[in-house]
Parts: sequence; structure tokens; C-alpha cells
Amino acid sequence: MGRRPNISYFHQFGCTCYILNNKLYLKKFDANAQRGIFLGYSERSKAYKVYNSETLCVEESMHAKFDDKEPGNETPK
Amino acid sequence: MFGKTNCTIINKDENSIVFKGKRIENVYKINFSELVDQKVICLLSVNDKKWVWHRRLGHANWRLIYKLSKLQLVKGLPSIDYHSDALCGACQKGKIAKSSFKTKYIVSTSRPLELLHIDLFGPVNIASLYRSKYGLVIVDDYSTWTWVKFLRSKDKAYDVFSNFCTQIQSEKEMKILKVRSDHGGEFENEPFETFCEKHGIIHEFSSSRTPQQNGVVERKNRTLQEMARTMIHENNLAKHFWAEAVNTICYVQNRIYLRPILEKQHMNF
Repeated sequence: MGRRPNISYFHQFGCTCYILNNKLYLKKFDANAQRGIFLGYSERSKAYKVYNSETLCVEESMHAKFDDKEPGNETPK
Repeated sequence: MFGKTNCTIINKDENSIVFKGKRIENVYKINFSELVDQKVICLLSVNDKKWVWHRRLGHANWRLIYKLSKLQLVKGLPSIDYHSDALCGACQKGKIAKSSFKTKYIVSTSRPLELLHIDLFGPVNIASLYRSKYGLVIVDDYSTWTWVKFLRSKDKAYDVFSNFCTQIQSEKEMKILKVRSDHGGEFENEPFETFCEKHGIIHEFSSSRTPQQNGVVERKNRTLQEMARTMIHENNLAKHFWAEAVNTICYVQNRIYLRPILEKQHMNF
């Protein structure tokens, strides 16, 4: 028996997420986050694989918040 | 369908009548007490209301709204359940912050050389006696034993690390399993990857722009530099002795370092 795996960081595949933008220098009233879609977990670091819908590319980030709820229940925008 | 005196609400799919209402002045009223025997599940979702109030109060924190309504501190706020497991998109865009980094209270490795943390510090503005400007710090996760290697330039990191690997593996007769580093160009390059593949070493990275995840070796870096600086300035030594000072501190630290989790010194290594 090995260690019990930790699954507390799991999220629904394809759910909406918000990725903290720590690449660019942000001005005071710029949006802090970008909308994205959750794609999975990174193999080589402790991070999530996400598709950034605003820059249209896949990136790895650990500073993300996920909208984990029933699929099809749209959040008010 | 709305008529002059009454209205009927019809389910389109089944063509059955759901409600019948009478018109009283300008309002169609439905008597719900007559509908008890019918299956009426949901008439209006209260959900929308809480989102309206969330926005009206300038996207205030859910906990704050809940408290205001529960303790009745303001007039006119309806008392409904102000809890939400759904995220508000606008809130995230405006308020998102970096995630926190929790301290670990267990030792995750079970033998020496299972996991090595590596990092580079420098450039130091004054070259040492042997003209090195960078320091390569290698920390073993299990025993927290530290090695410091001095480099003249960053591109030497690969050669030094590969020599170190072969030497330490044959010395201890143990295999290195994992190496963890940041996304620095001196670690994330082709010869380094091929070396790792050849020797069966898994190369892990901390997430980009997140030095907190490389904390073990970053903290060691700080200790080494702080103590070396203290020692040099105490004795008014010339600054190009920094490599010697760091080396001494590394030697001393390996023998006196107390691990906070275990409250004891290094396991024998």
C-alpha cells in the first residue's frame, strides 16, 4: 500500500475557469483574469492545463479559479 | 393565451393546460390553492434574485451579504439564502489573486537522492577568486543535504550537473529519481533533457513565474547568501571571497541544520 492519493484539486473537464494574468504588467484598472476552459493537469509541474479563450492558446497555470457546478447551468455574466 | 376575462397557460409539448387564471382589473391571477393536486414544481427561481442583489451591492462578498440579511442590518434586503457555489465572472476578472502555498507537514520522499531541487543564483557582480559568477545549489529533499557548485557562466550548468550526477550516483550507489527546477534556460534545454532521459531521471518543473513552488532550494539560497554576507562583513573581507564563504556555510549548514518538521538533524548521509 502506498500513500493515499490526494484528489482535492480535481475539477470538471471543460468547465469555465478564470486564469490570473501574471505574464503582463497590469495597469491599475485592467482585468486581472482571463476566461478559459479547463483541459487537464500538467504532468511535470503542479499546475492546471487550461485553454485561454482570450489569447487562444493552451497554457499551464496554477493561479486559476474553476466554476465547478452542474454542467449546463450558466452563470450570470 | 390571454383573453379578456381569463388566461390559460399551455404546455406546448404536451398540449395540456398548466394553469388557468382569472383577470382582475389589469392583472391575471392564478389561484394556487386549487392547484395542490397537480404537479407544480417550480414557479420562479429565487436564484436570480440573489444574483441581482449581488450586483446591486457592487459585487459584494457573499459572506457580507449573508450577514447583512441574517442580522437584518439593512432595510429592504430580502432574506433569502445568499450562498453561491457558482463563480461570478465579473468578480473573478476584477478580484482574482494568486493561490496560496500551504506548508507541508510530511516528508514526501523515502530515501536520499529520490528528489533533488536545483537552482542557480547569480550573477554576483564581483567574480570570485576562481572567476566564478554563479552558484548552482543542489538540495536533496530527504536529507536536505546541500551541495554548491560554482560556475563561470550559466551554460556550464549542464556540464557541472551531469558530472555531479554520475559522481554522486556511483558514490552512494543509489539512483537519482527526480530533479525539480524552475523554467530557467540553464535547465530547460535539449542536452539537459537528453541527459535526463538517458539516465532515467524525471525532470519536473515548478509552474512558470511561481518561485514559491521551488521553495526548498530558494530558501536554501537565501540562507547561504545571508550567512556568507554576514561572515564577509564581520571580518571586513574583500568581496571576491564570497565563493569561499558560501562554501564554508554550505559545509557548516550540512552539519547543523535542524529540519522544522522532524525537529532533528540530517539523517545520516
